[in-house]
Amino acid sequence: MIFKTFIKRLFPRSFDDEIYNLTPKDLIIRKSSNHGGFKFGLSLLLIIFLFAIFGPIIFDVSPYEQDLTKRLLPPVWKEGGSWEYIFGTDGNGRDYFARILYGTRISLTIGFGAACVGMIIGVTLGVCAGYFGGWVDQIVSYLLTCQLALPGLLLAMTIVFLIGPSITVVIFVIGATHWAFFLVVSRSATQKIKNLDYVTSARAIGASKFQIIMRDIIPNTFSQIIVIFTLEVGIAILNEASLSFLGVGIQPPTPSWGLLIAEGKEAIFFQPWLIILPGIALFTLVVSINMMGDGLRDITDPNSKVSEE
Amino acid sequence: MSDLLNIQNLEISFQSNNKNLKTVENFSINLNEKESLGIVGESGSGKTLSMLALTRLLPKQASVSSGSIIFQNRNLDELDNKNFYKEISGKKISMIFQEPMTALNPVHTIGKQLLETYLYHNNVSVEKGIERALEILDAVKLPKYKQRMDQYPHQLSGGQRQRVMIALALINNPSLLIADEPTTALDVTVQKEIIQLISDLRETIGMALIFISHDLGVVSQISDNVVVMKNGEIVEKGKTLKVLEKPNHPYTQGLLDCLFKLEDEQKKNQIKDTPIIKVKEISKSYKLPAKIFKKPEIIYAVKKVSFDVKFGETIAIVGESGSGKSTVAKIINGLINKDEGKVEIKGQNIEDIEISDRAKIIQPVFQDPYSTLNPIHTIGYIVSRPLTINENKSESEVKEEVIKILRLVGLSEEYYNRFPNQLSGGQRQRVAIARAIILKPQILICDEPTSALDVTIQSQILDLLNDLKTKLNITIILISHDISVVKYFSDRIIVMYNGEIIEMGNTNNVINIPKDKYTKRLMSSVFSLKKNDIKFT
Repeated sequence: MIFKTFIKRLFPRSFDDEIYNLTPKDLIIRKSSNHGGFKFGLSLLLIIFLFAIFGPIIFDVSPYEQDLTKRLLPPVWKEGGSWEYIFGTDGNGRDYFARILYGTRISLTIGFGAACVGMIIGVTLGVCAGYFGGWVDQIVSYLLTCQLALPGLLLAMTIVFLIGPSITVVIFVIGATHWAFFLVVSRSATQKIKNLDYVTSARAIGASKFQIIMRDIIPNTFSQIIVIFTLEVGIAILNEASLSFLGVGIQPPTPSWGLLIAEGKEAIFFQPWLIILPGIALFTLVVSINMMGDGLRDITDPNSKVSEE
Repeated sequence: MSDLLNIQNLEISFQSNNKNLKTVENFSINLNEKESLGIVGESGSGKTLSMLALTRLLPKQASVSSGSIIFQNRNLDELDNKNFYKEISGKKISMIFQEPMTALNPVHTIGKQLLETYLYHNNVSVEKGIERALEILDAVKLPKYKQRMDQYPHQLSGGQRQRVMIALALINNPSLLIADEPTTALDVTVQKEIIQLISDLRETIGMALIFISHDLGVVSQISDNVVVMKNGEIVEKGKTLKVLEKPNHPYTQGLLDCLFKLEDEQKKNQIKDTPIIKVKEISKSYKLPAKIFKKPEIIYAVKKVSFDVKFGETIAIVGESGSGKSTVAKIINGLINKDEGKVEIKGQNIEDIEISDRAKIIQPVFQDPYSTLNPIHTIGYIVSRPLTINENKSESEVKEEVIKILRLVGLSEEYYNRFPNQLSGGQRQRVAIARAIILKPQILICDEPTSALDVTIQSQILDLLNDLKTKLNITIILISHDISVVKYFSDRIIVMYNGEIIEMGNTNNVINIPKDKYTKRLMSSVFSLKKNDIKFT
């Protein structure tokens, strides 16, 4: 309800009575304000973003400062916990709440960054393959087969091992191994769109190939790509967690959620919160992104029947 | 004669957003045995929906909210679904649909589909069933009907499939046949045969017929009585001839005017003797994927086609689907490369003309109003794009010109910031025309510009094109399968068949004294409704 009144105040036009008088943008706004899953996912994601941006500023405790006299303190709700360390401390006596808070930044950066890299590679290749066809399409399809045949995690591990781990390297490596979905979706969408009359007429009025791709084709594939994008963000975050867990991702002492889980694995029987807490954080983020992605698919699909009031 | 079907005050509503939208209201018809009734109306008028209610095939969201249906003195509302399908649907009432390509199940043979329908309703042996199936396939005049039992739908042509559909509908000797635009998806020459067939079978079997169509000409041929629908309501009903002679409702009057107007003489352009387009022996072929040990098959879409178009002339290319008429148009427009031959525009080879110059000489208008405009751009952007790509003009100049052109095609300034999905089919087609003429081209290629539109809108768009033709002195190449449009609009006709030109000449000559066998068939298959016909009867 609050969400709807808020949106209504922002975009009053999209709540006029005449549905057929709405622009596509208005219709999307209206549909999104009625989609429960989308609203929940988006709100949760916004909260996580706010945490990542403002959390470390407000909660001014260093995630790197060690105090070996206060190792493995339990969180506040456990026996022996105190408000000084809400989530307790890790094996080196660092504040666990601060580490998870900082880890949010790292995980979000890697998730969105890697999905962006994957999207740029996949959409570029996919649109080219779909639009030009012929030998371009064959080469791209060959690349796709190679990508699908190689075990992604193993490849990522090898590359990170050879170049040396850092956040940038991890982002690019994950992105470079996750563009198959983007390619497949944008290729088939382009093949469909390029035969429509508005593309033919753009050719007739003398638009160049570049103009047609940028103005007519990519904007129309956008609704499908944005859905793949949200899925890939979730996958990339999990992938980073796996890489860190295996020791080739983010390097300590930088806190990423995957790394926190990896570090906590020795204490799994005696201090399980070291794994459970970052696990819950990871779970919440991925679920919120996936719910938002599912919602986006429903909203941007012109055939979907999301109730309008 | 006794009443066969009596529908009283039928009301169909759509459930949407907790609101009831009434789509059909006060629908009452009365049908005698062996009577034929035509239902006419534009798309969305509820003509199909009311018949789907009768056969209980309504989409999920729709429901019959009130009214009674009495068929052979039985109130159909009292029948539950199971008994309805067993006793009425498919046995007493059958239906034929518009699209023969999708109405048959592609994985079963024709024979199996016929047998299934027959055996479900009749408790007889398979041998009897096969006998009956052969009998009915013979009755619908399917060529080589004995071999067809074991064939699959993809082995038949569109017209043949529609015959099988009719056989399926008639195999149980129904008392009422509902034909929902049975010929709209077919080529004109086939159209006439199918209508003749339905009309003949009605007499031999002695069933009643409800014929749904948007084409008043077709309906007038086949039905005794006619019902005209608009916006879910019956606006006029009565004997077909009476309605055509003296329409009471302004909407019916409008429909008739649209038809009759096509007979009127046109203002003609000044035609100069010099040709603007010269087409010399162009060919275009496609290779089918090669099979092992076989030469790849080559299919000619266009075979050695040559003709001239003079300045200011309107030339029409007619032919059935697959005859290569659209391919010719695209080659002239430079959108497809030809294999052989030569296309000269104003004395210059089409390949030698710069794309930006070509855009200022020749522009296309397409058939489908829904795919011709990019849904994510505003109308203003779509229409201004040819200018921004090809000419250096300031933003305000461009906007001014776009608004001027929009006014010219009959759209007001407020459409500038709208999106295509807010426009109707006719309005979209106006925008597409605006985009085509904003560079002031001398040649316009119209590929079936009106065939996806309703009759009333169709005549508006034709008026607009006609108006522009004389105002801007444009040469038009019109591609169409609709002879009445061609007759109304063009100076010369080119008839194409299987990629070749088989006849070419002045419009009146070709239509009135066709020489070629195919042209004769094409011209005789037009159901034109003429003022004189009605007064005569």
